[in-house]
Amino acid sequence: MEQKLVKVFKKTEYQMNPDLPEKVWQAIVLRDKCINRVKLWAFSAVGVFSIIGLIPVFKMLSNDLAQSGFYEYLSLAFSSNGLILTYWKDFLLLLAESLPIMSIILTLTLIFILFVSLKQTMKQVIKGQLSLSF
Amino acid sequence: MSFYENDEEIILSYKNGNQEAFKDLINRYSSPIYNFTARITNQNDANDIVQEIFIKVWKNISRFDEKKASFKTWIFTIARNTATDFLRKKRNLLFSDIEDADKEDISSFEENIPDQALLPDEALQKLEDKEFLDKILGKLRIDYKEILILHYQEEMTFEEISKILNKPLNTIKSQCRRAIIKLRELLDE
Repeated sequence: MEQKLVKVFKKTEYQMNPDLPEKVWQAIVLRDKCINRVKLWAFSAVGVFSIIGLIPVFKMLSNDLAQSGFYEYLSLAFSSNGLILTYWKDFLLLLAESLPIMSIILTLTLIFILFVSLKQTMKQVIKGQLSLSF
Repeated sequence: MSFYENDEEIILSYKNGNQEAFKDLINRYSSPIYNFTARITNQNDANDIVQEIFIKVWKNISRFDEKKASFKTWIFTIARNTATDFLRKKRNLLFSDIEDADKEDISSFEENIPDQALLPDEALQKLEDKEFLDKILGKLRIDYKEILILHYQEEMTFEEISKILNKPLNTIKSQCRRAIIKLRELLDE
């Protein structure tokens, strides 16, 4: 019975449209292109926004560095070599304390986002050129 | 023309960057997937469902693990889920249908009926009419229909079917038998 029932099912099989595999492939190509395009625009936008964001953040960092006296402490390192060498540990601690941490974190975060978005944008551009559209 | 011997080779080639390899997978599986889908749903919607199935396969192929299941089992699991979702959306299938099917009592005296007596040659001859077979299959419960199609049309083993339908092996064996008994009942009506 087993084999006979297999024969029955085989005999009554549906005949698919011969174009179906090509249509499926084209649908995948189209979907791939669409996903690539969306990712490309999204990462480009993130990159542009991070560049725009970097301008005020750099200004803020520069102001904070000036206000905290970081530049003065740093110039001390070049003017009195001997003294700094003697108390180098205290000097480094002082220099670190004068750093505007929040501004630095914000700047580095934006730079990181910029590089990641740049990398992803390039990846999407390359992928777009080597995409499924043969 | 495919140069690959098996599905795993194609997938490996695709994962290594040969995008065209996916085309081979489509060519290999479009016909069986189409047949399965057309039988479970209907011929008119089968083209769209097949397209949806292959898009899902393409999106998730990186997650395919050949150690867990064969590609055939994996793609048919996706096909089955997509077809079930389609039927549910069309309100042809309710959640309760699937739940009731799972709660079935397996033990029965019918288990002991010999194979030959289940579907005699005359009954099988009747089923050779495509439209009639579809009509009869349409009257069966969805899980019975799936088992019959996978076992007799796709010639899958009960183990493969149990993986696809996520049910114990003995349940599948028992349900297959019950499906044939039900088929016989429908033929006698």
